[in-house]
Amino acid sequence: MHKHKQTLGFTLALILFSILNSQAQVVVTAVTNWKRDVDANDLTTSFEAGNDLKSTVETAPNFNQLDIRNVETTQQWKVAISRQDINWPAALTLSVIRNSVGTPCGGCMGVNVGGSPSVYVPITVIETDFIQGSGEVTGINLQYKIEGISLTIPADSYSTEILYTLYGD
Amino acid sequence: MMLFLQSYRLKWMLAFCISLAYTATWAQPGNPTYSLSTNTFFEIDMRPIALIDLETSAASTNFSLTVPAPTEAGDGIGSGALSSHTSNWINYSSAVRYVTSRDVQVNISYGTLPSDFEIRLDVGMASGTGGGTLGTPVAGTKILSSTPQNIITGIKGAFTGDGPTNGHQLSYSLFYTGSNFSTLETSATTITILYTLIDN
Repeated sequence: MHKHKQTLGFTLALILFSILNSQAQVVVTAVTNWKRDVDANDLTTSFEAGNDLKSTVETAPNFNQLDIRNVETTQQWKVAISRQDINWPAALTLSVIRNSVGTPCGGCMGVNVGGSPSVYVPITVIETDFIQGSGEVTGINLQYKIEGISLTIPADSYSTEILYTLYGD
Repeated sequence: MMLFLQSYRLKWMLAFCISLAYTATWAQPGNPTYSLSTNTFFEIDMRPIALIDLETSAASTNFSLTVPAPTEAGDGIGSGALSSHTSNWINYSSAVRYVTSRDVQVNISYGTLPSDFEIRLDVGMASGTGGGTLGTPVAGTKILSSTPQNIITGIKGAFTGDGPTNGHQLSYSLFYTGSNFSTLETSATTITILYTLIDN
């Protein structure tokens, strides 16, 4: 009896694990921690006294990749973005742009280009719709931009966390 | 299998597992949970910056102050400013992080003025296209010497703008403070005036 109980428990655990493991996911690959130093090289004329800092820092067009995994072929979804500040000054604005449609799975529509145009979307503490689509897709290129950089902002280390949340119909 | 399910405890275990499994299935798009989120940490590290230079509306920041010869026989060389120069400007870019502020000091770092001559310096208020917490000129005319002295204080995160007409205008004047004309002789003296941005 005891042996049968163990077997049943193990079987149920396996079923549970397989279900949990197939849960829909939104995953950011490539870079999960990004740090950018701003110094005299970033003045509008590098190392030239009198100049302010360049107001914008932009990452490479394929800086990060976003995957939507473990969703049904026809499952419609959207990814919303938001920011959770650690210490982020109000003067700095952070934006993200989708620079590719990625690679949809066989039979998947992937990114809905009309519903998620390739334009910079400000990332704020309030969730904002970013990308829509259906089915699995991998390797959507993301590029980030920080604006408002200036010597008028107190020199410090500023951090924030960008959250990507997957929603479906 | 049915035999095992007759156990009350096992039924509850199965119900619990099914419930968990249902929850996991339920946590699909449309019902987001934390497990359907991912994140990226962003950090921008604004490093300290301390840059200062001289800009000029003339051909060079080097300049000459001369003692004009009297135009009337019998006159001395006068007691006012013998000559002056106002084409140089101080520009700076500053990001303070581990200090509270910065000052600009000036001194003669090379050479010695002939006795009874002095160069006086007036520093203008910041003007031009800059921004931030610019420095304030120290009140009064400064007589240049080999000892550093503050001419601008209280610079924080700031930039003056680049080029002449931006920043602080420097006005130099040459004065003769002596009265014994027997010591005057024709000569040329070169000095270097050093400007230093210092941390407080």
